[in-house]
Amino acid sequence: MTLLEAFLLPLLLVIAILVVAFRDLLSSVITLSVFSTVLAIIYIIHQAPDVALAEVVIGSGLMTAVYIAVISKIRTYRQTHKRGEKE
Amino acid sequence: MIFSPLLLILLPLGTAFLIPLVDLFHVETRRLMVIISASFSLFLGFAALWSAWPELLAGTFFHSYHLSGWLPPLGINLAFDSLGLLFSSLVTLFSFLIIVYSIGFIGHHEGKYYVLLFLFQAGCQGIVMTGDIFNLYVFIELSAITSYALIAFERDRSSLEATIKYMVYGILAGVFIFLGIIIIYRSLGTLNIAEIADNFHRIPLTLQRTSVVFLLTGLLIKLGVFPFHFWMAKVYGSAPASISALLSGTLAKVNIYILLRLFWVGTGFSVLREAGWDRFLLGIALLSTILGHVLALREREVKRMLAFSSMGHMGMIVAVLSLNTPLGLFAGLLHAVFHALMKTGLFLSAGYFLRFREGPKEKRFTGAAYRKLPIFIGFIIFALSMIGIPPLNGFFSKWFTMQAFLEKDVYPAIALIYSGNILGLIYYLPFVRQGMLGKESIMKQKSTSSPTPGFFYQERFVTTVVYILILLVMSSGLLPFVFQEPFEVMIAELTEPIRYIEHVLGGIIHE
Amino acid sequence: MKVFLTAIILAFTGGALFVNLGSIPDSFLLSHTASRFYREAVVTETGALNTVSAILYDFRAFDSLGESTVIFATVSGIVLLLSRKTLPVSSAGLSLIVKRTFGILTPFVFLLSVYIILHGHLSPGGGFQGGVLLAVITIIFCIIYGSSFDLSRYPPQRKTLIETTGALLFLGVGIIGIALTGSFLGNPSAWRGVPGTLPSAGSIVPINLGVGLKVGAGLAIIFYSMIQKTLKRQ
Repeated sequence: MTLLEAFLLPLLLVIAILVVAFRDLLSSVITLSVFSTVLAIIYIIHQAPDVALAEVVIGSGLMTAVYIAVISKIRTYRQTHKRGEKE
Repeated sequence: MIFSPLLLILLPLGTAFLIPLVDLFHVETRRLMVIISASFSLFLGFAALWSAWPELLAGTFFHSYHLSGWLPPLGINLAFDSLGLLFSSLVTLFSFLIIVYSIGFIGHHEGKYYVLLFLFQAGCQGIVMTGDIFNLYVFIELSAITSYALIAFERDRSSLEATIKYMVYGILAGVFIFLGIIIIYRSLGTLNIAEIADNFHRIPLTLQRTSVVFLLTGLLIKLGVFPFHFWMAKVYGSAPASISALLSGTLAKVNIYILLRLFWVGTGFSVLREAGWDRFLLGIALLSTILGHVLALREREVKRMLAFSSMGHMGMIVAVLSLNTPLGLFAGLLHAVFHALMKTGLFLSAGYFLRFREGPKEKRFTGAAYRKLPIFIGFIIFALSMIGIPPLNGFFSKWFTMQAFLEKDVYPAIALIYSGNILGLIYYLPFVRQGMLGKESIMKQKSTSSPTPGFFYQERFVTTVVYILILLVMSSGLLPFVFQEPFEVMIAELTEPIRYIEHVLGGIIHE
Repeated sequence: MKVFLTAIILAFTGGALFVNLGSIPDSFLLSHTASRFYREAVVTETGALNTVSAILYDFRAFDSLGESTVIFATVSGIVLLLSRKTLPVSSAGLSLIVKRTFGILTPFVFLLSVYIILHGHLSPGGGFQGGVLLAVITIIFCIIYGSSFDLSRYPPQRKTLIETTGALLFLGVGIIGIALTGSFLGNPSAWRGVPGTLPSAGSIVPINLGVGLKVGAGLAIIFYSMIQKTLKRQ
């Protein structure tokens, strides 16, 4: 285990706990993308560049975008829902 | 014989890929393509069964196909034995019936619906044929993901809720199965089921049991056996009737196949027996039998009632299989086939009334007999068969089930099945009564189908499929002994996994 | 209480998993494993320098067909559930500076994705990773220029066309494999070429291309159908 890995693995654990602990969904999603990036670095240390590439592109790129799209969709739904109740 | 089992997977797969493309240019062509492709895959299934029949009776039926041209430990192989042939025929038959039914039931405007149906068919055929455990997982995921989207087809609140519930359970089951596969692969270094079966005893005992626990938990969630039955009623109740029939008739039976393939052939049943888990399996399966029948008593909505009854029958199949006697396996396989016929028929005939009637969901079954009497009689026939009235097929499978339990002196099981029959009578009767009453209120309601004359008259597709199923249930009840000889071959395959191993690894020399 | 119970169950499962996975033997129990063969003979047998690609698109190509079909199924499901007839009216996008910057940058993203797809048999990456990068271009268009720009440039029909073309390309390569080598998805030795050059490794390159198109267009469709309703309100 290299020194870098010894630093990254506990960091991964901390980030994972943060992802679950955040109340705000948006912060959770952004932390999740940080999680993916750190995981990708660990993959590179373990000489798996293919997996690292997939993890970076999907985990921290595409998934974040899709999650944020879903969150914004939920928010607009909630706003219109509230407005409907008041009227 | 020139026949490749691969075609049964590739035809639905290719059709699914083509549908969106054809949809862009000409919608009418796509309608035609759906019908032609479904009929052609039915024809292929029949041709496979027809040409394999003599070999099947002789006990020599086995087809192996090496994908990419690599032999088993290196590449993926298809291993198509007689057990696979039975379930593959079931998948082909029911996919065809459901696609034809859907043409009348859903209509033609949703191209994506048929894409998903064909992908589902391809996934199920893949599960049944593959000889590679990771490939099995890929196809399990394919059939699971298509079923998520199909369940949510109605897009109303209850079906979306059901989908999310089913999805969470499905993903959980997938993760468990995946973990089991990882443990096996990391220990042995092979993914081929025959090689795993040959070498499973070399894995340290704790790891053997851990992987078996993961695989079994995943499969029990998928089967909906007792501690994991929460999703069933919700899902079957709010999916379209055609999809409920597909889940209960086809997907559940395919899961039974996975159970047989993994634990009778893959790991060997002795792993379960030495740990005492076959008794445990018997216990929870019997518990889910009685629980399913009792919970069905409460339901006032026909599809939810059928869901709980399905849970009861699946529990019975798992229970009788877990006895691991030849008679028990025979009864289990027979009931799997017959239950698929009956339950598909029940869902489809109930779906007919739910689709072509207006009003709230609970009321739509009232006065159903006056809407279309032959379909209603069909519903009664399926229900009677479910309860186990002699000339119909349900009686025979229950008869053999009872004998299997008697042979092993499991008397509580017999009591449970008897009470299940009586409870079945109690919970089917209110629906029959409901269907026959309420004539006046029905006359005011209009049917939602607009009768347009011609070949594409929607209702005709739906009724034809139900008539075919009635015919199948009655004829299989008259000739249950057709199944005897081929089933004995399959049971021999299950009880002596060495035959499967020799068939797959025959030409390859090991140290 | 419920949280506490869940935590206990999770901790127990995790602990059991940790202990069990720790007790897995260091080397495979079988000596004739596939992984040894892959390591020794992959270049001579397939002509691909990237072992991972060779396993994914040659030895276990049927798995890749299944996996890309899973994505195809997901796309079909999401389109089935989220399909709306109304076309989105999007925002005007971000500021001019961002637009110009990404106008210069986007061709290079495209180039990178094409590179990753076509060099799948030589360097890390392949159809799947490159395809996802292709889909990212749609996301850039939607966020930076507004989704109506994306709609006018790449309408959903064209994306569907690309997606099914990719799927059928994969299937077609498999069927060509039957004709040339006698088995589905077989790698014809006539196409193998000189290992290390771009047109080599037989059927791996067209399969990579097929997967890239399928995955890229598919994920773009997913993202596009996700944002439709949202941007309509602005």
